[in-house]
Amino acid sequence: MTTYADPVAIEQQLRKTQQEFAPNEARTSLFNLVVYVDGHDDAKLTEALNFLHGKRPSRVIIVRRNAGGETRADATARCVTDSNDKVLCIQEILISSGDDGAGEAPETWTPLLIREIPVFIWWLASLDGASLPEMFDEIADRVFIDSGLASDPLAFLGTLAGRVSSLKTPVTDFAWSSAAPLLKLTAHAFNAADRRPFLAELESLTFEGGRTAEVALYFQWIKTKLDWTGTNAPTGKVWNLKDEGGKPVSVVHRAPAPLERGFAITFKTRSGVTLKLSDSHEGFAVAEGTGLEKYTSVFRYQDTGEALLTEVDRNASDRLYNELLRSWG
Amino acid sequence: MDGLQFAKEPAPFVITIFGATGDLTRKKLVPALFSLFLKGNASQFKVIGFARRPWTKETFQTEALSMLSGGHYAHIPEGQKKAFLEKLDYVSSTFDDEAGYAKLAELVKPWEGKLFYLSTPPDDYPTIIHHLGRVGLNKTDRGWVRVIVEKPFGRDLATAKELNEVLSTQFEENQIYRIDHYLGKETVQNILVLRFGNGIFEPLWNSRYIDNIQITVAESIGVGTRGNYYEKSGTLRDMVQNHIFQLMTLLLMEPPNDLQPDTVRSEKVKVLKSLRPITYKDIKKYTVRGQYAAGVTQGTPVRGYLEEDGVARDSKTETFVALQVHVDTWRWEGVPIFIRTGKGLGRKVSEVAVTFKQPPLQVFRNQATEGGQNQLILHIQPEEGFTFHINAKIPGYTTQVRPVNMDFAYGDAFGDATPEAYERLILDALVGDSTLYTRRDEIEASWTFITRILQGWALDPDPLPQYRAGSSGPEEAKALTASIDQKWRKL
Repeated sequence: MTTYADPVAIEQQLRKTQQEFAPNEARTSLFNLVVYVDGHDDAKLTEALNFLHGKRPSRVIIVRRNAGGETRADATARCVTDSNDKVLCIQEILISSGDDGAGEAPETWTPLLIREIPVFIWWLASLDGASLPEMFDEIADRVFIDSGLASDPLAFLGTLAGRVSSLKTPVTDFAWSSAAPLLKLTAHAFNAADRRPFLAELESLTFEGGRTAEVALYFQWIKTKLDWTGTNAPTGKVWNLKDEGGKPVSVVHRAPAPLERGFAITFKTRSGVTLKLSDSHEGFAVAEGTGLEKYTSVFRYQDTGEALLTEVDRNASDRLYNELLRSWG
Repeated sequence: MDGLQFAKEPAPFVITIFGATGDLTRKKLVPALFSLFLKGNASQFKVIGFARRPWTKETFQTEALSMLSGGHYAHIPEGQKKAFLEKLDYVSSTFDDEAGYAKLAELVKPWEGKLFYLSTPPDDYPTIIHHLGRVGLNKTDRGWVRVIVEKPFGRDLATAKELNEVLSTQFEENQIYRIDHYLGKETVQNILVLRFGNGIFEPLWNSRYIDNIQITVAESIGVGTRGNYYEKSGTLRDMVQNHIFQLMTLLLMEPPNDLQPDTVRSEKVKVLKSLRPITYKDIKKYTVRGQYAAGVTQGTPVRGYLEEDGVARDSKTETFVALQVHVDTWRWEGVPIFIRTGKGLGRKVSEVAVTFKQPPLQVFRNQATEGGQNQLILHIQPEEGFTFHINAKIPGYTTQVRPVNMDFAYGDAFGDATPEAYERLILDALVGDSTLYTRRDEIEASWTFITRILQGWALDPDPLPQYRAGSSGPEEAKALTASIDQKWRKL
């Protein structure tokens, strides 16, 4: 009989490795993180785990899909001493799923989970055809995805939106995490009492840069907040919407590209006022426009590591994201 | 239209710091504002320093840069520091010079939100408040005006009332934010979550199940260079009237119906108003004060309080206070609250220990009668978290019982990146949330209780008990807990 990942042997191996770093006391793991990867986003995974390292002790199980050969498992730990002289370890178990695909089956790795702490699944692989989050309903406390990794993000979000009310396992979308600084920036720009009335007069909104999923979620947020109605449209096409008073508003996403490469968001009102928010590429965003004193605001893209850290600390999915999906259309 | 506003997003604002050349600005206020800027909670704002020193805007910016250097600031890009510093301005003026306020009025005029931070010696408060009113900076046609008042808020009931009166001549109560930085601490706020966010504690949180509560806020260091200040305040004013009473009200208050500022604060006031007064005749029974004498703290020899710089050789200022207080409500009838705080003690520790009653029938004969009561300890400093003492069977053929601990440390669960208390509190003031600030009646209720003790002590001719620096306090304090067959928790 083949044993893909012998829990006893792996626990022994982890204990041995961890004791080399922390013979006395290590902080207890806070959560299990199971990451499904298929080789395309190794750099992102490495960056995220490096960011987590030294911040949150945890058990990370990496399931490498389509690794070829036989399914196999290996374990190691990396540890660091924190500011209170306590040792923090990330226990890493790598399951390489062989030609038989057995490593991908949850039953291969569920015995390796630490009980009584949360289980997060991070699907860092192609979303096409994956039954998410339903396939982890009995195991996971939350499933992390990135809707931007779908071949058609709008279709994916639309499908997810149709099921959001009946999902048993909450979903976190890293595309939404990426959009969060944009939301904050935009809210700030219209926060002043003398600029707030412009929101009721908007006639167009153009977003240049950013990935399809992030920008669609951003548009959906504004649409929901301002009670605009109408149907979403693909990248490059105009979303012909109507504002609260029934007046037309056109919304369009142009020149899609990773957000880190820069963006420009332009709002125009029917009275001819323009407000532009753009990235200065120096850790700031700039707000400028008609009759507006130009100002800068700290603006940082949230990288995957930061987003992951935020999500593992959080107890539930994002209420606003779920609301947006419910009103998707 | 509400717009796109996020929660906790202040509208464009200007904050004026009176006493901007002082230590609080250097150590807390500028770092807190910079942190809010970095986290994106504040982007359209201006910081104006207002003080006597003949600084310029550039001097203030240079000084602020030095406040943001070294340590973790070293990793922050210079561009971000520069962008923050550009938001700083300075008015050099005495606090009674009308020209200074006129200049200030011009600078703050364009801003929607105006926050004034009084970080000067309290004697200057009335002058500043008066002048703000004179130039019309106490109100606005659009946006808002608020004022934060630093502690000490009075030195007894009369002076606290006087200050409240002065404030009320120029500001409405909902514009006044009396700060107590203790309420900005995560663990202190977590008392509310522990009590009202969990189903298991509240049913037990009353005199039927709780035997007594001990609150300890101990410091190992002496008064150091603050002898002059301490001579005028003493431990009762410096720690109990504000910080410890805040802790105590959160622990003892009834569940609020919601988390609106006035709902929470009204419940806190009820606790303060239910405190059984300690009158002169009971002063020896329910209070103990003391002064630290020469000793050793944290392995280092230290001199006694009377030998400290700025301290009168015949000073009767207390550096230690222990109190036994009672809250006369249905919930807390018969539950003594023991409070202990001081300087020059054996260890720096802040905690609350809730001791539960013994089971009504002791079926385990081998259970120790001492130390066997369940205790819930809320650790505030140095390591934040909870410990729950419960009894467990010692493995073996007989039923022997021994206390064991269930521990939870914040550092284990959330890492150590908690925001500074001032960050949270300033942000709250900017968005108009006064839940964590002290209301007028709260201040006056606490001073009513404290002033009685001060008056009782003033009539007490006995010398202050001394305690060795590095010890647990004066021997006399033991009598308080011994009155119900308890001991103070070990420091």
